[in-house]
Amino acid sequence: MVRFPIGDDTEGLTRRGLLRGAAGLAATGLVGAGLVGAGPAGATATQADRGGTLMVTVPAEPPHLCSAFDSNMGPCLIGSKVLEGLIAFAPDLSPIPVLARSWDISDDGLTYTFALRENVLWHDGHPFTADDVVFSFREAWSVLHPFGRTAYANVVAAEAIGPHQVVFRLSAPAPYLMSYMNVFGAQVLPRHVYEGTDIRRNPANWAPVGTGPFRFVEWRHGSHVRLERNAAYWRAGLPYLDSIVFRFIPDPLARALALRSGQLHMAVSSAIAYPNLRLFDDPDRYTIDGGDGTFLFSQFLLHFNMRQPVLADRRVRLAMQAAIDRDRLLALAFAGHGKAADGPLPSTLAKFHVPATGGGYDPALSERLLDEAGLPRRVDGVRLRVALDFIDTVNIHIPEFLRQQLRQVGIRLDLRVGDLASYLRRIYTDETYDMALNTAHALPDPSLGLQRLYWSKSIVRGVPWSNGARYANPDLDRIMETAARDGDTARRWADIRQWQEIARRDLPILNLIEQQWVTVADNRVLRPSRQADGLFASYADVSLAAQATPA
Amino acid sequence: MGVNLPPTLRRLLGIPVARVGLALMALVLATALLGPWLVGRDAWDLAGPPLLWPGQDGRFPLGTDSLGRDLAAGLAGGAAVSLAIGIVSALIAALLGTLIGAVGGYYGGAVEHLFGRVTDLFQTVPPFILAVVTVAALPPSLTSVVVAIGAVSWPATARLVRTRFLVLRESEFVLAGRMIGMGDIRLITTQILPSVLPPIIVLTPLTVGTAIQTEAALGFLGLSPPDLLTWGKMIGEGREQLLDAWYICGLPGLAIMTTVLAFNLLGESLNRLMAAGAREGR
Repeated sequence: MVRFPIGDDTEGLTRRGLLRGAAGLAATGLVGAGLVGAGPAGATATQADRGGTLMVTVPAEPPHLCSAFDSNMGPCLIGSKVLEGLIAFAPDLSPIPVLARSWDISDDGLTYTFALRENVLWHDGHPFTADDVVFSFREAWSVLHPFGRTAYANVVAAEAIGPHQVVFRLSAPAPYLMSYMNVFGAQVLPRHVYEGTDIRRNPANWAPVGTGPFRFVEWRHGSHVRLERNAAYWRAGLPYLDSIVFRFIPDPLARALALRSGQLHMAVSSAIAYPNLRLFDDPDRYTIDGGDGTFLFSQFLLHFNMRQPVLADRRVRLAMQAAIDRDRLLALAFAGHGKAADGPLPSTLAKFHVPATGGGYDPALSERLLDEAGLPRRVDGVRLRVALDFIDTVNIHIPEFLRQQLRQVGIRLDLRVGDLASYLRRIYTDETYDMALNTAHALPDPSLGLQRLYWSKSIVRGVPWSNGARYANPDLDRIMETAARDGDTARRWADIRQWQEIARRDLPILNLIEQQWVTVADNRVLRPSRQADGLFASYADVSLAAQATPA
Repeated sequence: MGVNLPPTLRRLLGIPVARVGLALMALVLATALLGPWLVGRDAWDLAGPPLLWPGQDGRFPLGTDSLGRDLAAGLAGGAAVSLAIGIVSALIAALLGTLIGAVGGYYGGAVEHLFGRVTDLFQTVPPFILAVVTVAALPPSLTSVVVAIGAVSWPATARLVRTRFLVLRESEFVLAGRMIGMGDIRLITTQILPSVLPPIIVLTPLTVGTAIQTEAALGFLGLSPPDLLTWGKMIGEGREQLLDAWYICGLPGLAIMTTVLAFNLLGESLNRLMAAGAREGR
């Protein structure tokens, strides 16, 4: 059953922690294939199902394919088939070995030792070694990656202690560190290709050289990226597919039609617009799955500019929360996919999440709060006029919905749409905004994904996706800083509970929807194993049922 | 005919196509003026259940979109917007085109060369692209849209006017006017312009039609101001539902078609009228 080549090469590291890793693996039952899910998506490929070209579409053409210095999802949706990380995540978020075949975390939480896979080759024939991991950490993850600086803040050194063994030494425990070691947070780059170059401008970002199951073949801008089978992949016998083509189709409806007509097999990362999902409501032909983005714990949110005097009044922010019916927003603009948010942490992050006790839809309360804040309705019925900024890729129905809801309580919302660059400039550099819509990934640990949104030290002018609300609370700062370096689980969880309480009370950010990244796949696509980071799965064990290549 | 109509209008009504055009235009005008009052509901309101088909619910005779907004209210509100933008920007185009054409054509030489090249420049850039760039560069407002459409619609008028002026400035009545000491401005406005006016009048309704289409296309692309509900925007926002709720796009599409057709038929009829007048030596 266990096809994943792990049990046979554990020599070298025999410590307890190593076994812990391996035992966790066996417990998840994910090492083999076909254990999670049922129906076509859970089926295992037979010999007849080898080969074929998988046609996939993504929401947008990414600017490049390297995730080692870029936290956006786009590059990784494609790059994760070519390059790999040390680990991946099972649906329950426990780590699965990838380039690291096992790991050991010292009891004090200050030393992480990774045993790397041997006999792994880069696509250009160079052997993969510990030097590649050390190089990637030192030159990319810890210095260039936008969130790496936080994630690796406690890591003081990374060393190769043998050709296939890496040690990370920490100044303080970082209980969240393992939650970021996948291909999205810690993509391993080939040192021999990147060393001595400007990593962000290296041509390999557009034609990656990796260790993954698929080799990069071509990128036709405006059309597609083609990947081909890596015959020398370290998982014997994989991948099943001959090639993968990522098609770039700018129009969402055209993507839906291409999938319906069979020109595509699969649309990932909500490439099919929510209203169009109804077109695929036929379990005999299609599988609609919201689980591939679990690892991101994304929230669709609205953040207030706390430096605008009127919005600095907590009552005004609470009034907005009470004026917006999040369940209705979910039903109308997200076609019911996801969940109405109730606080800073998504409820799916169950081990940390504390359910909210208030904060629901209550327009009467909203009006009362606005009255108390000294904002009576004027002759025209308007109490307050504020602007809402959003990126042009946001479904326009969302801001239009919010405008109508706030209008009921006398708040006039001016919608300001912009492209990504002008949005980022206005929010994070010029700070000339009132409120902004945004999607934030909470990631499996709040210290990784959420701290940057609430921490006063991440108020950094010009840095995108930092503390855009410009919110500063010394108490919360201290709690977050403690939580980020506390090895004691019970104490840490108590801190995170308090963090949620403060964030709900102060409300610098109004969380609207716990977002799902929906994958729609033709049932001919067989995906035996599932991951919490399935958006960034390598597709090594994905196959197409026989004769499924589109005409 | 019992009613004492002005002769031009009577002659216009004699053309069948013109009767159709005027009837359609009356329909659009009535929608713009009475529609919002009849519907009695804000087009942006999340008024009812989403995705109601026309006729499915008596409260929403033309159905609702995916946010539950009343499509009848949207169509009625959009009529006034489309007409206003179309007519105002066509007037801007007519004024601008006449001015540039008249000055260039009358003075000739270097002035004509300069104005001619500017006109060429505007004509070589696809007008819609130019409108998109202009709207994107200006702050989002109704005025920006009108200015953008007006600014790209004038070259056709300018060319027409310039050609007529080039011919007429050498004609005997102009030379006679100059002999008796008429100034340039007086010559242009009182002597030449009146005889150039008929083709401008024919061209302007056609420009209105084009302007309405341009506005719809801008709205479709999400470039019209966010507070303004236009037919084009309704189509753009309903596009994702094209397969399962085509009426969200179809109804405003029909409205645009009707309005543009009305103006085109009117322009066409005026053209026939003028041509007939010219044949009769009037």
